[in-house]
Amino acid sequence: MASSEEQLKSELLLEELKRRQRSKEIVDVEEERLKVIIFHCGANRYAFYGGDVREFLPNCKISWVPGLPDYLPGLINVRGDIESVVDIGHFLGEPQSEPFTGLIAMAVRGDFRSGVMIDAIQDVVDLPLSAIGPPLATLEGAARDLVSATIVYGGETISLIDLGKVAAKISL
Amino acid sequence: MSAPDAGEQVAGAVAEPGHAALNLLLFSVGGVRFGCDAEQLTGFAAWEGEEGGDLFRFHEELGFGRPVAYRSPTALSVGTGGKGSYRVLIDQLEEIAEFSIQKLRPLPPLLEPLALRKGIWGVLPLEAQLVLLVDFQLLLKKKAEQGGGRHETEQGDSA
Repeated sequence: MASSEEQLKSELLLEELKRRQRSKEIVDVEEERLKVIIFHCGANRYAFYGGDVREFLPNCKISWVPGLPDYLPGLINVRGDIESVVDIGHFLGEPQSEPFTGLIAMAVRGDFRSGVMIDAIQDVVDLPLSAIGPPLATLEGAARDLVSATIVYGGETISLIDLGKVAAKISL
Repeated sequence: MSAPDAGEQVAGAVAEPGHAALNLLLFSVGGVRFGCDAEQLTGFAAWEGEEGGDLFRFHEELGFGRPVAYRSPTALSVGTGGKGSYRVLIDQLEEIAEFSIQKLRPLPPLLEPLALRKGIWGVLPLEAQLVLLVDFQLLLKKKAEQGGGRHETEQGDSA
């Protein structure tokens, strides 16, 4: 029989279980995750950082404004606030259909605040940071300037768009 | 011409008692609705085809970049403070109405600098549409800074 100073086997086991649980919790905390929004634009899929997008607006009427470049197709009315719209397909070499029938992603990143035209949302996923890779070396053109990383989703490598870089590119 | 900055003009209108509303002349050109401060105008008249060095087509002044047909053209005479005649041809004159300053909205920062170059300084959400507010004094000022003259060649206008 165990002395009063000796721990019961169940107590030892319970301690071990709790230690393992704490250890797992620590691992979970340390494994940072990143929310990304995967979307269609033209013939390809891309992703935004989830924290950059506030909401998606369907069926938005874009009011054209004269004198603006092609990548700024106009204005939208979001519950009384007037917001600009960026045609990101212009930079990605993905022409938008006419008339535009997709979604507007309301993006906020630092001082940059604008709607961004996309065709459709594919998915919203939480990925471990370890799943984020560097941009593809084969990226060409303006897209290379907008992409900060890649993710693998459904067996496909998808470029992660950095809206901060978009903002820098279109700063007037 | 000493045209006030658009921002100053709006701020002044908000700050001064008795100026909490703006008389806007609403019109459309090429299917786009615009509004201008009626106080900037000295008159308007139906356009019957007469030309002149002081007459400019609105879509050229604002850089539409596409042909525009004028079906019900009206020539607006813009006050220049005695610095010459300046008339602008618009289409589809709608009405002159008073709107509360509270209903007006600034342009989003992303495109405001470009729009201001064309005299567009704000937006009036109206009947599920957006009316672009144009300041002809600001437009004249920007034209003077850019060397004046027409921005585009004649393209496809018809009365």
